Parts: sequence; C-alpha cells; structure tokens
Amino acid sequence: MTIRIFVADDHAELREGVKRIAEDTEDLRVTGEASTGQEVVEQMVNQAWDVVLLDITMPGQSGLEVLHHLTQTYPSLPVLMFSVHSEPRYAAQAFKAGAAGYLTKDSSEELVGALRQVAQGGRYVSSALAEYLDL
Amino acid sequence: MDGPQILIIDDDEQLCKFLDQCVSSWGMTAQIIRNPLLVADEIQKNFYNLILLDVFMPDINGMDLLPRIAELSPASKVVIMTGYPDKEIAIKALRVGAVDFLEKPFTVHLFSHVVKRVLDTQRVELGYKRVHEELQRSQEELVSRTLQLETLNGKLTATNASLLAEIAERRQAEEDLRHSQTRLLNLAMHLQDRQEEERQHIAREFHDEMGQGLTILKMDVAWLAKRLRTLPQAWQDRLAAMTTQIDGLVRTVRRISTALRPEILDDLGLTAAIEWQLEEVKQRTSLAYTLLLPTQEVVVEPMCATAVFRIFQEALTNVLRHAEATAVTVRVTQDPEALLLEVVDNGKGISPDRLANGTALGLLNMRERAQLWDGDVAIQGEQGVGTTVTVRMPCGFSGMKGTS
Repeated sequence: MTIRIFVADDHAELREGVKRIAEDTEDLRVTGEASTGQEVVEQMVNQAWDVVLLDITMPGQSGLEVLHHLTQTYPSLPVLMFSVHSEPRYAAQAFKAGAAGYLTKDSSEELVGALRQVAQGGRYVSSALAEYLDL
Repeated sequence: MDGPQILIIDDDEQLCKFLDQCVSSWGMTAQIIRNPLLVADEIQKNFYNLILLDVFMPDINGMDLLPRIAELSPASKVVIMTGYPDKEIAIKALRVGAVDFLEKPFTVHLFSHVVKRVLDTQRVELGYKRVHEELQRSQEELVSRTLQLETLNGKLTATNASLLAEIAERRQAEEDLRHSQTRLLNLAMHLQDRQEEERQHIAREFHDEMGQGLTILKMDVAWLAKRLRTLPQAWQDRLAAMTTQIDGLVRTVRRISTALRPEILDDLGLTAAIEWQLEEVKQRTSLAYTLLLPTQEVVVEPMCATAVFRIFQEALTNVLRHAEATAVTVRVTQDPEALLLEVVDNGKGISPDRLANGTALGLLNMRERAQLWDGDVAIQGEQGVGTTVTVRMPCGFSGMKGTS
C-alpha cells in the first residue's frame, strides 16, 4: 500500500531530493508539495495524504504554527517535522504541539524509516536528539 | 638752646640791657633788636617764644609791626610795652594779636610775672596742641587700619568665593567622571550584547543555509550511489567518500555555529553547556575532565549565564594553549550571594610574570567580562602542580532556566 507523502519546504531542491528518495522505495510516494505555510493550509483541505513532512522554518507562518493548525484540524494525520535545527528546544516544542516525529536534516538517511514509522502511527525522533529529550 | 627764646624790640638801649639781664637771670636767652626794620628777617630766621615789642619807636609804629609778626610767626607770643597809660592802645594791640601789655615803667616783679604767665600759657597751649595732634594721628591711623582690614576682608571674601567656585568645579568634574564611567560600563555591556546577538545571527544563518545545502547534496549522492551499483568499485568508493566528506562538513558546520553561539546554553542552561563544552574538548584533544555540580539545580539569569560561559571557554582555552595539562576539574557552586566557577588543571602552573602581564589578552578578557557583572576572576598558579581559575559572579536569579 502506498504511503502518500505531502512535502512542505521552502527549498525546491530539497523537495526534489525527498521525491527522488521516495521514488527509490516501493511504498513511499510524494503526491503533494508546498513551499509556504499558507499553501499547506490551503491544500490540506483535500485530505489526500497519509503523512506530512513539514519544515520548521518557512517564510510567513512558522512551521510550528502550521503544525498546530494541522494537528488541531486533522488529528489523525501524522506530521513529521524536518529541520536543520537540532536544538532540543524546537523538538520539545514540536512534540508538545502534537508532532508525531522530529527529524534533523543532517540525519537525512533516516528519512525513509522515519516516514514509515510515523505513517504507521508511531513516533520518531533523531537519535542525536533522543538523549536530550529523555525519550 | 633749650630754653624759651625771647626777642626784645625797643630803641631804649638801657631798658633793653636791663631786660636782657633779667631774662638771663631766669636762665633764658634774649635777643635785642633796636631797629624795627630788622624784625621781619629775624623772626623768619629764628623762632621766638616771646616777643617784647615797644609800640612807640621812631621810624615805625610798633603797632604796625603786630600784624606782620602775627603773619610771619603766629606761634610767637607778643607782649607790647607802652609808654603812657593808654588803654586804647592796649586794647587795640590785644585785638591785633598781642597777649598782654606792660606799661612803662614797670617793675621787675611785674615783668617776671607777665613773662612767666605768657610762657606757661604757651606751654599749656603747646601741650594741648600736641595731644590734639597725636589724637588726630591716632585717628588717622585707625581709619587707615580699618581701611586695610576692609581691603583684607574683601580679599578674603573674594578668595573664599573663588575657593567655593573651585570646589564646585571639582565636584562637577567628579560627577562628570562618574557619569562617563557609568556610560562606559553601559557601552561595554551593550557592545557585549550586540556581539552575542551578531554571533547568534551569523551562526544561525551559516548553520541553516549550509545545513540545507549539505542535506540536499547528501540526498543526491545517495540517489546516485543507488543507481550506480553496477559501476566499478573504485567509482563506488569515490561516491562513498563523498558521503563521508559531506557528513564531515555537516559536523564542521555544526561545530562552528555552536562555537559562535551555543544554543545548548539557551536551551539547557549553563551547567549543561559547560558539560557539553568539556565533552567536546575531550573528543578533540583527549583532555580528561571531572565536573562537580551542586545537588540543587544552578539557576542563573540568561545574560549572566552567557558571560560565565564565555569566561569558562576562555579559561579552558588557556588550559589547552598554555597549561600542558592532562586533566581538568571544573567545580560549580552557588550560594545566595553569587555563582562560583572553579577551573583547576594539573599542568605546569601559570608563571608569575605571565600573571603579572596585565595585557595577556585571555586574562584581560575574563576580568573585563566579570567586571561588567560586578564579578571577579582570581588566578593562582603553583609551579609544576597546576593552575586554578576562580570566577565569582553575583548573578541575579530569575527563576527561569535559559529562556530566550
């Protein structure tokens, strides 16, 4: 069964990169994308995805604000935060706001595993952050 | 000649001689003039206490001489000698300046009486005059002295005023100095804040941009590697090397941006940041460490925590650069007054002249940072044993841990 992924990130190359990684797998496909928080909110009404990959730093609405909106409006939709920021404070805030997972961009090799885990209802956090967050 | 001088003006030679003898017998001296024309010159040349004047003489009326004598020698007393009992003449003479008259012929007794009386009166008058003059002199002196005192007083008042003005000036200068110092301190603190802010900004931008770029690069390399599994091993090894290189760059980026501005300080607080720093140094240089923390959590106001952390970093850098140590012990304690940070190494010990060299940049930096917060840094070294750096900071408490 295909896991439909929505990628939200203001860097086009990064979205492309995620697409390519997904294409290399059997089960993951990127079927939607956005480059601003506003676009995410607008498109999400279609409710056509199984997991959202959300960058924390986007122009306009902050990633955390978008996250909050998503978890409030679509509680059963898992959101995996994807960020350059490896500060524990961001991860803590993200989880508090209802994120299913937090992945740092320097651990991009963990992306596939993280997406799968989160799509299946689990939680995920980058190994580097785990000790800081007492998870 | 001490005694009173008497001048006898008469043309009667015998009388003159007689009178002269009388006068001499009293111990006084007399001068005789028979020619009235010589009188003016004589009384200008010499002073006579008493002038005996005959009013009836040939050539010139003695009466006419009176005003002349009064004019030329006002201090001389004139007694006229008349030949007839003529009251008119006597009164006239008294009016023009004579003090008494003698009617010829007159007895020695009368003569002596008159002379003595006139001379006594004169003496008294003189005495009185002298006293009066002295009084006047005293008065003048008093006035002069008073004037002097007033001038002096004026000067003193002026000096006093200028001294007060000077004191006021000095006070103002002191206050201006204090203001300047305060402003300087504020400026220093402001600059430190700006510096940290800028570092934060640079760190963030550097980290984020590089991070994004490297992530994308890594993804692409991984994508390539997957598709090029049929390539010769050497080529695949090259791709693997690229991935390793990128991972290295990611670590470097993280290290540099953290060095610029350790987020961990804001997120997890001072003690966590110190531990992190020690761990990082150990990974790089094999410097062993022992970290001693109090059982109660250390709570520090964020900006102060940054200052302490920076001082700690400086101290650690010094250990790495100069101490030639193998291990370091870091102790953090906190009492109601202040935060205490101790960094003890087992190196060769800081030398006294390096310590005395106040311009050694690292030491100066530490002290300056501490001073901004009313804290101080003490450094002690024991040759061959090690060096101890003690930082004392009266950090305020905010009850919040590392908030931004």
